[in-house]
Amino acid sequence: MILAAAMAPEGFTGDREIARLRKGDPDAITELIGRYQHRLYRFLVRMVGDPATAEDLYQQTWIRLMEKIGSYDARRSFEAWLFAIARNLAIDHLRRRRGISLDEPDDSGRAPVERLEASGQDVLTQLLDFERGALLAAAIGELPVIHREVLTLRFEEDMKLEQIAEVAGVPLSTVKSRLHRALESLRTRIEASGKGIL
Amino acid sequence: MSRFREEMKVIPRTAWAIAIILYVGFVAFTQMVWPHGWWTLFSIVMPLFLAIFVLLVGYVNADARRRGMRHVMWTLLAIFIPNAIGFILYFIMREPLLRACPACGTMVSQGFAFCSKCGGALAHSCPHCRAAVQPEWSHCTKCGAGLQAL
Amino acid sequence: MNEHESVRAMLALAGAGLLGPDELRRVEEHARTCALCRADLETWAAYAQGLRKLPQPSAPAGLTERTRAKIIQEQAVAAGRRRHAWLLGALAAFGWTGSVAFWVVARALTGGVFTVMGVNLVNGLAWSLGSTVLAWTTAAAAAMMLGRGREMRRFL
Repeated sequence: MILAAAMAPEGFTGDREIARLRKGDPDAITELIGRYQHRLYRFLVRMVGDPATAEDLYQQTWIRLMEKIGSYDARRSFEAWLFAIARNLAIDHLRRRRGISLDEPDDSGRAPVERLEASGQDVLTQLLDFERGALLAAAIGELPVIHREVLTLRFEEDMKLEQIAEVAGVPLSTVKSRLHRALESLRTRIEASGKGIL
Repeated sequence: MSRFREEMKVIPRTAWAIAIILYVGFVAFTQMVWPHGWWTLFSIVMPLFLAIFVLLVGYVNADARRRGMRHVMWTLLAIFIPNAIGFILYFIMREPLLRACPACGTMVSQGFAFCSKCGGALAHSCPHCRAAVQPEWSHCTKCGAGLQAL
Repeated sequence: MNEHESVRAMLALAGAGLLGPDELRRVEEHARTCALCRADLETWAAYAQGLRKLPQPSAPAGLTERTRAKIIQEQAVAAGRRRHAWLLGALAAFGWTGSVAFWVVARALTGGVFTVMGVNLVNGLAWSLGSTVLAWTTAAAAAMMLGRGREMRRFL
């Protein structure tokens, strides 16, 4: 068990850890939170955009998880479960806050590059990777949330399609078609603003 | 379970005394008057209810007092409403424990923003209407004023 | 739809590495002869690469400690609520068994008969009816009194 934990990549949550969590062991809780800290926070920031809200949802995710740890089925992927909880909280928050459909784009009305330049960065003097990354991040922020979520889960969290399907609660074929549409939509936006990324 | 012990300490010694006297008295009385076989078991269990009742009344009295509630009224309610409904009402409606003012030490209710004796601040208050507010709120619930990060 | 069109529709997923082996082979075969699709494929691959290297938001300092404190606080609150519910249940049980016990004693003491205005009060039915009515009326009176008392909250 210990050997498996040592050999497995970051994110191994075994039966013994689940048992400790169920008993409410505070060290187990701290350890677990620390392990997923950056990934979970990053995911929430991508979903809701605002860091203060992301922190609030981050705490709520863990509280909700601890409430439901008793009914967690150990055969499921722990990561998928954790991200599913976070994802649902984020979606609820967005729905409450704006009351608009989740399929609609998040447009503030300006092209992504304009907003970047307005933020004071001289885009042309940045390194190629960072420039491209910042452009993409700005464009992603404007996509509908269901596109944002599949993009970040696939490319940043490196999740398999089956896991993404579990997190989002949709069939695998839907994940695939959403990814496709998300990529197309992303490219359309960036090319429309006149700056390619090659 | 240690929490239970702590709460038990609230019961005044008078209540314990009355409970024990009543219990022993009843057992002795029933043993003297009806010393039959199965009655013995009955006569040990029955007065237990009475003893527990007395202890509960003692608890309500002392607990209401330490929470700044009308202890006489609550004690009477606990005694006279049948089927323990008085007790149930008490536990549902009881106030939180009093806490000491950090400045003058008087015991005050938890909801207060300022001490009733010395006026010292006890909790975050709205800059506009001085009502008590929680640190994570962004608006005062009494007057609606926006709160800066406290 | 001809081959070119159908392959073009698959290029985005191809660049992202999401195609199965058969589909991938189709795309590669077509791309060998079609310069347009080859260029497109390269663009998609660049997008996929860019998406993997987005600027990372950094978690604010102390997030773990604050979250942990919040969790422990929530657990304490939940435990308190459970205790409260258990207490009320125990009191209700105590109330009802006490009432029955009282009746048994009353019956024993009066020898099974205690007539008031022609009604035997220690008869099972009469006792339960009488005790229920008494309990409800006193509880209702107390609730009304307490309800009015709530307006003058500090007198409670």
